[in-house]
Amino acid sequence: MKKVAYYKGCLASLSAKELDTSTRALAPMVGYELVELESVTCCGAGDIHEAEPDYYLHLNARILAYAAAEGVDTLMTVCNVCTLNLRQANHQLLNDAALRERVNDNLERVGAPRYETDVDCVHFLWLVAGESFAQLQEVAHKGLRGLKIAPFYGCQILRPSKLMGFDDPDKPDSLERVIKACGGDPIDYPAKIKCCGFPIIQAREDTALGELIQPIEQAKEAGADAIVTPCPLCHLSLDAWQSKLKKQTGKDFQMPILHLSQLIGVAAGLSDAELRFKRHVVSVQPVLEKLAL
Amino acid sequence: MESDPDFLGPAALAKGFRFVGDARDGGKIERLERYSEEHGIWDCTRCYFCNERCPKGVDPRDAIAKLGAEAMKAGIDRDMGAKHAKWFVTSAKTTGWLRETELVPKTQGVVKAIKEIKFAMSLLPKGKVPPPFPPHVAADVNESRALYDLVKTQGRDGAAGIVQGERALMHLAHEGESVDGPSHPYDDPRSFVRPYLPDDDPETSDQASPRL
Repeated sequence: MKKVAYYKGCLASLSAKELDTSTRALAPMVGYELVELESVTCCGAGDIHEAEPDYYLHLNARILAYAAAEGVDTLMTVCNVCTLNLRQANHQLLNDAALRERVNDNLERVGAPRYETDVDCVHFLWLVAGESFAQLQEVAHKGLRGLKIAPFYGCQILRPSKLMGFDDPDKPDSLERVIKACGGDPIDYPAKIKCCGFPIIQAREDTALGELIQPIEQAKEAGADAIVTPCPLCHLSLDAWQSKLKKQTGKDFQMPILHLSQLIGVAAGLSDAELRFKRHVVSVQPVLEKLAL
Repeated sequence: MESDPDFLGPAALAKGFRFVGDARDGGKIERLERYSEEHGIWDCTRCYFCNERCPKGVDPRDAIAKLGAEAMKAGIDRDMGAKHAKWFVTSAKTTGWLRETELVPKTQGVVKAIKEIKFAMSLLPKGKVPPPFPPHVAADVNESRALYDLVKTQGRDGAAGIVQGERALMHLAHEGESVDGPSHPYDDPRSFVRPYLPDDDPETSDQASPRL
C-alpha cells in the first residue's frame, strides 16, 4: 500500500461528495492509502490565478508544503482544475530557487510549513491508468458488461501538455484504457477533449451552454449509455446544466454522467452508500438497470 | 470559439497585453476597459487550446490571465467574470474553501440570482446547493488569511505574478555562450551592432563603439 496525500478540493467536499466517498472506498483497493490534508484551502480554480496571482502561488505552495510535511512524494487530486493549478505552481517553485525561497519565507512567517521536499501532484486517473493499472484490472472484476461509455476528458487534465504530460493532448487514451479494463466499450467522438464551458457558466451562460451541448449531443448520437469524466467541474456542468440545455434547445438528453471513481467503483462492486448515485441530477438508473444492479 | 464567434480570441488578446504591459503605452486603462467588455477577457473558458497550438510558444492563455490580473489591479471589475474571480479570493481568505452557494449572487447580482432560484431549487434535493451555514472552514485558515495580507505588501500584484511564454524562452539557444561564463550578448559575432550608450566607460569605449 502506497501512502499518498489526498487533496480533494472544494467540490468533492461540498456539492460532489459522491466523488469523495467513492474515491476513498476505491483508493485502497488499487493500492493507495490516502492521507487527507486538513489544513489546506482552495487551489483558486484558475480564478485566484487571474485575480491575485501572487496569492494563488502562495495558496498552492501551502498545499504542496502540507503534503510534503506528511512525508509522502505524491499529492493525489481528483479534479482537473486542482491538478493544473497545483502543477503550475509546483513548476514555478521547482524551477526558480529565489521565488521558492521568498514563498517559503512567507509561509514560515504565517506559521505554515516550508515547502522543502519536492512532491509530485498527480490526478487519480494517472495512477489507475499508469502505475496501478494491473491492480485496476484485478479490482474491476464485476465488469461493465459492454456498456457504451463516452470518455470526457475536459481541458485541464490534457492542456497545457507541457505542464500535464500524461496523455497525448490530442489523442488521449487513459480513460479509454480504464473503461476497457472495467469491461466497458469506449465510444469515440470529437468533443471528448473539448471544454464543458464550466468556468464561464455563471458569467456567460449562453456561450458556456454552446460548449456544453457538444459532448453531450455527440455522445448521445454515438450511442453512449453514459459519459465518464475525471473532473467534478465537468461533472457538475454536464449533469446539472442538462435541464438548461433542454429549456434552451428543447433537447432532453437524459445522459447519465459518472465520476471516474464511480465508473471504476461500479465495476469493482462498491456499495450504494459509497457510489451515492442519488446525488446526481440526471438519473443513473438506466445504466444500473442495464447492469442489472 | 464556436459558441461565441465574436470572442476577441487568444491572438488579439495576447497582442493586447503587449501594449498593456508596455510602460511606454499611454492607453492602458482604456485598453483594459475595452478588453473587459463582453467577448473579451472574461469570455475565455481556460481551455488552453491556444497555449497548446501556438507555434511560437506565446502562451496566449497566460497573457489573457495577465490582462485579467491588470484589470483587477486597476479596479476594473464590473464584469461578472471579474466578480466571479474576486469571490474565490474572498472565499480563500475567509473560510479557505470556496463558498459555493454564495458564488451565484456574488457573480450575477441578487436580481439575476433570484431568477435562478427555480433552477437552484431543482438541484437542492441532490445536494448540489450546499447550505452556506455552517460554513465549510479549513483548519488553520488564519494562515491563508495572513498570507493574503502579507503578499499584498510585497508589490507583486497584477501581471507580475504570472509566468508567460516559458516554452518560447526554453527554446532559445545560447550557442555563442562561452564555456567559462556568459559573455555579453553583443560580443557574439552574430549579434546586432552594439549601440553606444551614454554611460559607457570612456576607457573601454573601443568595445562600446559600433562595429562597422
